[in-house]
Amino acid sequence: MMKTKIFIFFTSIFLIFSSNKLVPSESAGMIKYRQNVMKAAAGHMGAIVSILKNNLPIRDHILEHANSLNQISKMTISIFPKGTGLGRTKAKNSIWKNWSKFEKISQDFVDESTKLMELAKNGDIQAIAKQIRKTGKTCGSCHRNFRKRD
Amino acid sequence: MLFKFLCLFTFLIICFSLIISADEEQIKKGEYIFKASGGCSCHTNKINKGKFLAGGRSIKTPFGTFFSTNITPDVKTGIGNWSDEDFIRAMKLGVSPAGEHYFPVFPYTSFQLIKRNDLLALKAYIFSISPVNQKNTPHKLILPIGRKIPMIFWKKFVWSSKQYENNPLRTKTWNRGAYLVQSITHCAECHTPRDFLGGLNYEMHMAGSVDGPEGELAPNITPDLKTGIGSWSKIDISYFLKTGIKPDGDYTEGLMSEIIDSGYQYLVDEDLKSIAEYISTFTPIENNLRNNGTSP
Ligand code: HEC
Repeated sequence: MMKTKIFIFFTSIFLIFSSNKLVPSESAGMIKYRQNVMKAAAGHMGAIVSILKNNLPIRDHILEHANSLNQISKMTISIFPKGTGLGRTKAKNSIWKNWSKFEKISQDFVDESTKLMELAKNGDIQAIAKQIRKTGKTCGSCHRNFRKRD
Repeated sequence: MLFKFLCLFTFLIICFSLIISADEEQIKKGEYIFKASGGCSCHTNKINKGKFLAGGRSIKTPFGTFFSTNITPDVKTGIGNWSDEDFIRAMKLGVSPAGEHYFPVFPYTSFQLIKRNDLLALKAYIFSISPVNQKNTPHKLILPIGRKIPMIFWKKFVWSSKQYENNPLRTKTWNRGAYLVQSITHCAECHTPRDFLGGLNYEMHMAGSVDGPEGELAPNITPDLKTGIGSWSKIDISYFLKTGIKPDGDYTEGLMSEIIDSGYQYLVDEDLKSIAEYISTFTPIENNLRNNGTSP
């Protein structure tokens, strides 16, 4: 009986710590992964914007990029586990201190990019141009709060 | 008799409405200039939900903390009793109606180049907004008396008052861009570093500043390929000023995003094109301000 209790105690402690904290080497890996994902998001934003501002004859690509951007937006929350604020990263520690705010802005990113995707299906260029800005603003708003400046 | 009276009456009504619409036109023109200036966003204390243009926003600089002033047309605490000439003197010479010199944190070094007509329109617009009664907060400078003496020295020996002059060797578009950038949009006030007295260092024109307003880094926007925006096309520049989205898909931040939101986004396409045209002819200056090594 006693043994089981001790076992449960240590297992739960282990679970608590292992579930949302990463050891340093994993954390470096997570940071690199996160940076690649963020670059991919910027890549899709930049691609849509290139099509819009240069009037490129490949408008049907916008939907593909909007889809991908929307997929990425849904990953945002999970690529910032606790313990990944140290090292070669511009992520501010305030992310984990103000987690609910961080969550809210991430959700805005999901919502706005979902709208972008819907609009891209209809192909109304004016509306897309407006919505890309709204989507970009959610990136800006998170960076302003939670990304260190150069 | 009745006919004459009616004629006179109609005539008066027409005159009256012409005056009103001329006024309205002037205000509209002024509003455009206001937005092109970035919406004077420093004068609204957004962070603390302050009233529009009522001042009180802190602006940290290496010289101390300034508090922007109330520029609503309130007679007691704002600029409501300024005459046209008072306004023009403040904008062109950096001197208050009481004869005090402003510190160049108020960008009159750029605003002095705004044409008189444009300034009068701007004043008409500012005087059309609601007055707010709110006292100004005194500045907190590192050397309080140090403010005046070097300032007066600087104004006497370093600064010189200028007018915008058209460059006949360049196109009309370029000149429009040059006028807007040098005067109204005041890009240099953030993107050009300052000398120890607070004046702009023209040798580093637009080459970026590590301690721009509020201690923010304002990047190098000369067409240098490595450290500036040499890889940006003119379309990239004008699109950025309208939307805040950079060519690599990143969204701008800090003061730049604020000034786009409260002003530049309303610039008409022709003006954006002119600005881009002018900016791409800057002398490229190599000046690396970003931390090497830290990736996003
Ligand atoms: C109130 C200060 C301020 C003013 C005025 C201002 N900027 Fe900026 N600008 C900044 C700051 C701060 C940044 C950095 C923002 C960022 O990194 O996203 C910036 C970024 C930029 C960038 C992006 C450069 C890069 O390498 O990412 C360009 C281009 C730019 N500004 C052009 C202009 C032009 C053109 C004007 C005038 C029409 C102007 N700015 C006026 C503060 C200002």
